[in-house]
Amino acid sequence: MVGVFVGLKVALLRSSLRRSRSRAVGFVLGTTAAVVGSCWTSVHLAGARSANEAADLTVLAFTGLAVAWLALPLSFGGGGDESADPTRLVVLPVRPRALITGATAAALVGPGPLCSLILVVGAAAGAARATGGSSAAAGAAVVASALMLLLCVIGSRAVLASFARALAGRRGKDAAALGGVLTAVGGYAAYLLLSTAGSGPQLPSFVVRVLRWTPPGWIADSIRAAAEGRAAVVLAETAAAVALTAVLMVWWHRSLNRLMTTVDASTAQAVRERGARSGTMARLLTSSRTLLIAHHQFTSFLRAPRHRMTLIAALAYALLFPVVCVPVGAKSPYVAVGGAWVFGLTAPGVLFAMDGSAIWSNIATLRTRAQARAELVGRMLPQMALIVPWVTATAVVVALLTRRGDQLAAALGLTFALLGLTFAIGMVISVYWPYPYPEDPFEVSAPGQNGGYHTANFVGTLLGLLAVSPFVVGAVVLEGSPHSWLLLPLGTAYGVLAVVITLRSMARRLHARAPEVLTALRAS
Amino acid sequence: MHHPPADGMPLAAVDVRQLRKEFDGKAAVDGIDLTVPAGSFYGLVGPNGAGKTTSLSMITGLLRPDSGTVTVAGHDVWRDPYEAKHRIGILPDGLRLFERLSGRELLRYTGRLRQLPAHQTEERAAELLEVLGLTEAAGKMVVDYSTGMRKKIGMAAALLHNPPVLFLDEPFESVDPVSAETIREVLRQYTGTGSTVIFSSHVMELVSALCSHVAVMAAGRVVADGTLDEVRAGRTLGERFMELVGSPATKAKGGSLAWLGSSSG
Repeated sequence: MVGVFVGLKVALLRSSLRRSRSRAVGFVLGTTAAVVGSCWTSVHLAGARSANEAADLTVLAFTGLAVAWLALPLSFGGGGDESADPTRLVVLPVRPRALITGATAAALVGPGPLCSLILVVGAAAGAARATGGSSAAAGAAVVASALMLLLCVIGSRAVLASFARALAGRRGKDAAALGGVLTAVGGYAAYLLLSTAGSGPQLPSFVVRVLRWTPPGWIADSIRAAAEGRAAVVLAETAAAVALTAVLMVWWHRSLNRLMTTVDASTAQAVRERGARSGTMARLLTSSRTLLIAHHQFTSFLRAPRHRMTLIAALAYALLFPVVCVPVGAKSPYVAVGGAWVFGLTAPGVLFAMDGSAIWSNIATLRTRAQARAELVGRMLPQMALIVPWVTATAVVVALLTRRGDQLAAALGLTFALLGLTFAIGMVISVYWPYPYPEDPFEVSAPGQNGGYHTANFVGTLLGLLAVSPFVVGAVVLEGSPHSWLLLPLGTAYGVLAVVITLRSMARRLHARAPEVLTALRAS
Repeated sequence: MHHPPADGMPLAAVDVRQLRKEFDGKAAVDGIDLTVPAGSFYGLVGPNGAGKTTSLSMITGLLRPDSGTVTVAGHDVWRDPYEAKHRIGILPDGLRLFERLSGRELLRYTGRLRQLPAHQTEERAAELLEVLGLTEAAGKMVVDYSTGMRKKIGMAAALLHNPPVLFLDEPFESVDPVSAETIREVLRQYTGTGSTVIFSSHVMELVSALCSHVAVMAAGRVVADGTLDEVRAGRTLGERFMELVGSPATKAKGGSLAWLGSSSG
């Protein structure tokens, strides 16, 4: 049965790569990068100097891995891996023990488990080497590595099966999508901090002492105990970890059984009633298509997790980027320009993406160029209403903290010029290369449709930087001069002009090309 | 209540000429001609992949054809969308609705896109919700609707501006019998006043019971069309359909699958 399951996993992996060449290339590149990164980290873990430091690092590494494996199914479900989907496992005509064994074996195949294995082996080797490198320690390290990987994989699958019902419902998916964006933003923040601060995380020692008493801590500690000849401790810690793994297996199996024998009640949940809108607002929305679209975009920002996720992530990146730049030396409100640039990479180019194929109802009623203009303006307004105060506040706060109030006006001018350009370019990208969000929230984009969007986005970013360069030159020339405030009205006018001019031609194009936009979004 | 022009011939609500669409070099719709008389209840039948949805998308202005012309209520859909779009109601298949709006909000949004006066939208929406049995669910978001409820709210949105021609792609799929009867009743009343319904389906009994006219599609072509009686030529529509489309079931009547059903275990 193990062979059947592993074969199934390999077949699923292979056929998902066959769906498109760019996917396969992305998978190979991503996997290579992850394996290289894991090896690099692993070598560092293995090369830790003192015995104490090595033991602490192993505890941290094991705990970190375990947390990642347990959190993963809660925010990303099976991560697109059908062989992990408990609702598919339960319908297989296989006896429970064979099912769990087979599914565990299948779960150990893939880039994720491979990278985890590399990290676990590195951390275990570090602990064994630093504590003297005795054969007992080496043996304990091998057992600990295997046990740790099993604990991660089985724990992760047990969590996935246990929460499958909750995550399958609409609310579960909504919650998981927000978990996903928090993970992404957190990861980005951690990456920026690590790559800019230059040093590793320094945790107080009591954290390690506490973690040492958690299950991953037992396994990590068993290596040091083996090196120090404390056989009873090694036995107790290993036995406890084995027992916990067994309990997790039983829990996993129980959850699968429950999935099979109980009904899905997700559609029977009570849902909130949506109230009616007052008279003035209704009249406003009836009279202006622009306001109607803007209001609808704002409503879906409040209600649709995908929409909210995209904008919150864009705003978070637009804040994090400048904020992280300040402590590493860019002590100037000009960092807000970076925020505008990062925002431009994410949100303005996907004006229609968040509507998905539901946009047909707008296209079926799109009769004039003015209406096409309303479709564009209505989608940009809510984004502008969020990002303009957001970067302004960022620039003001940074200017106050760094005591560079003299640069504030010029920095804002440059920021608004770039923002206007990114919206202008975003309109062109949205009309010509609409980005289809995929049905499955765990895929980044629908297969085969996104090449044009990504190329356009990349080229557009470069063009935007090029087009804003006169203002960069202006800022450099006027630095310290009393006339530098002139950049604020000039930059703002430049940004507004870019939007207005582009709007005219893009509204014309959208009016002519609306069915093609729908064709691209049909995939979502 | 038909609207015959002066020469006595019935006016065509929809006129399709040599409509064609290729995907990746393969013709999904291969030069079809259709004439839908005003006031008719027109059924478009065909097996999966026959090109029904592609045809309806092109006829309603949602998918650009490679060649051919479509005229709805006298206006060219692709040359004069300003006039044509106004006269078309659509219930598409395979396209989403704005799922994060409640049923009532969705109708309101549609009414505003169609530039109907607010009070008219409210009145019509309330009536449609009532007739289609959605009043209780009107405050729920569409994402929490069942498939049948989605078809019904989609149909309400299509009818809201009272278009002279209504296109419905698989309106009865996954709809429970009670809702299906409601939809049928609404459509009968609608066509009874001279409006036109074109709908696709692969349920022959339904098409036989409802339609005055039928077109049979297979492999991107129209293989038969005309009044229901003309198309079925003295047999049931189902028999005639199998004859026209070619029944794969005959393969099973030979020797293959002989092992099936004789199991003792």
